[in-house]
Amino acid sequence: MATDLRLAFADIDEALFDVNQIPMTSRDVRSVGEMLFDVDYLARQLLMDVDGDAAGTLLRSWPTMVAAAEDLWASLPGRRPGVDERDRPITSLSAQAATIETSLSGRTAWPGQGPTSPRIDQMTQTFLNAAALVRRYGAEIPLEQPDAHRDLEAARTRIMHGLYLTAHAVNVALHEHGRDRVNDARSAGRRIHLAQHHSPYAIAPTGVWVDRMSACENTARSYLTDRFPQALAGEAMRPIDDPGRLAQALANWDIQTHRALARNLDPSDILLITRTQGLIAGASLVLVDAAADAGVLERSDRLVPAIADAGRSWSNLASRWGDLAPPGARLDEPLARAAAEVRAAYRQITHDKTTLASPKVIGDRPGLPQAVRATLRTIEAGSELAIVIAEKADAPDLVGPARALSRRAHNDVEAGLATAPAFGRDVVWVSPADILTKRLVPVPAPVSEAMRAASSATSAAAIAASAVAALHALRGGTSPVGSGRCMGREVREPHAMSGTRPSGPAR
Amino acid sequence: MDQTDLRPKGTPVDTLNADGTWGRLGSIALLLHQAANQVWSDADRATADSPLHDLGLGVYLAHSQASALLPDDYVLPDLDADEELEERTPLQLLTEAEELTRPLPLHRPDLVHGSQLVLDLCDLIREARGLGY
Repeated sequence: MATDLRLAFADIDEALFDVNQIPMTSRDVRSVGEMLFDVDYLARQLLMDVDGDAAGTLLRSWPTMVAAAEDLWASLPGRRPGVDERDRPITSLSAQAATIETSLSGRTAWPGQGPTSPRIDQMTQTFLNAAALVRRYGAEIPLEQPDAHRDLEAARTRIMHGLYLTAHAVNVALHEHGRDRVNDARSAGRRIHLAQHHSPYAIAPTGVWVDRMSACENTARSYLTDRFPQALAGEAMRPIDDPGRLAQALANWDIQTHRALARNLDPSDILLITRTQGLIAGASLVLVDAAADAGVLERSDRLVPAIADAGRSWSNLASRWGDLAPPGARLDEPLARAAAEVRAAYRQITHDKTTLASPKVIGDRPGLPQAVRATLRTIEAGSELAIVIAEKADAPDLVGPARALSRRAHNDVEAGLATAPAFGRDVVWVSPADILTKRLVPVPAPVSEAMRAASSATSAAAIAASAVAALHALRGGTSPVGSGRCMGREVREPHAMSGTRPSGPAR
Repeated sequence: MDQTDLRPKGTPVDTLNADGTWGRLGSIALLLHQAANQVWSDADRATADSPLHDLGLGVYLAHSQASALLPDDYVLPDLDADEELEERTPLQLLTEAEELTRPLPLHRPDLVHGSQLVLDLCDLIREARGLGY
């Protein structure tokens, strides 16, 4: 395994920032390159560890960090006179952070005055130290050399990368803070004031901070993905808290799967489709359960088992396609983007931090009625998809890694999923030489047989789930939004759709 | 401010050497492929609505991001998962993949989506920890 290639931070120094080229000081012996790698390291650790409790301290620390980053950016030599397009992202980010600082100063409401984040403070100080170092020795940098230009670009990217990760961490903390407050209030039986913001977590006043930090995160990301001109031209990212997000994500998924399946797809793409269908089934179970609890959907004895069976079948089929999908395979890009959006859109409704939220919590989330309708429509459409995927299993030219297929062939025969060879015959399904040399080999007969059987089972399960979901929709199983009725009986208004809940105690 | 760890940290290499970068990305792809398979294997033993299905898909999508950064003609050294990898937990695999991204020269035009990969890996590590890995 090539993981020996792993390096720690600061193992690499660009020419500009080499420790041998910049005199050491007694105060901070790192080169500028090492400092920027340290910022990257700290930002990663922050993002991996972040939780809602840190939201206030992170938010208070953010403007100072951006100011320090801008200071370092400005200190880098080779700036062109006048307005430089290259500097616009950091200028925008700085302006956004400055307005956040203005809003925070003297504020008594959340997050109020208080401590700052030691990790962000450390990154801030590192940026300041780096700026001081560059200002002292920057004049000695041979700007005419290509290496120097490359190093300067690397420095700008590292600065923006650190800001991007940190902005995302602040955003994650704000979302989790909102969730924590909602959960605390609910468990204490208190009402809580939601912001005028279609988010399950946009607790006033965190909703506005989420918006503002999202703007910062998008600015940094657009620089890093080389899309800043488009961002400036007004290309908007879809708001993550849009209650119609799931419906749109699933509609796009439907389009992209059909487009992809019309072509000759690789097993890695079929793996993505089948796994995403399994996810859709699992998330649908969660939504159906929550919607039934909330009175948004008529409870049914047939719907949940049918969807659960379809989910298991999709996952079983996916594990078989997984045998054929080698590592490093490139996915169809629109399909992968659509799958990522489906995942994100479901998480917005079904998840609480990293795990599933309770049905009660999901039941109160905005957009639940739309989400249930959309997810049932997708379950309904799953039958056709399963049939098309089953056709792919009949392709005669399927190949896969020798070892995985050998293992699968023996397991399938042993489990009785494929026809066993005649008694006493010892069949080698994949040659040991192919396993040893890690070759791609044609799918052995038992695997092919079991795969076709799994495809048929998935089709059958998806058709059954589709029928129940369709029947449910025909009978009006989901209540029309705002009707307050479900199958002829009064249900409470899905109040999560309303942005005007009674105010709860400020915290 | 806190002291920086100044201990020697491995053998310096030239990160702008394409072979080194692609080798690291190839290793990341292998690690994430293995992690996705392991999470999905756990998910398949759990209920249909287990959050592990979601984590598995997230890891697989991160694997595809890493793979997309590789040149078209790059071939991973191993087609089968290394047996050694099978002994590691998904969290260990994710953490190792994240560590491998640290020296990537993200400023290079061909690694323009590298920052997104780093961010997604950090999110996935946090999620994996939250799910008990």
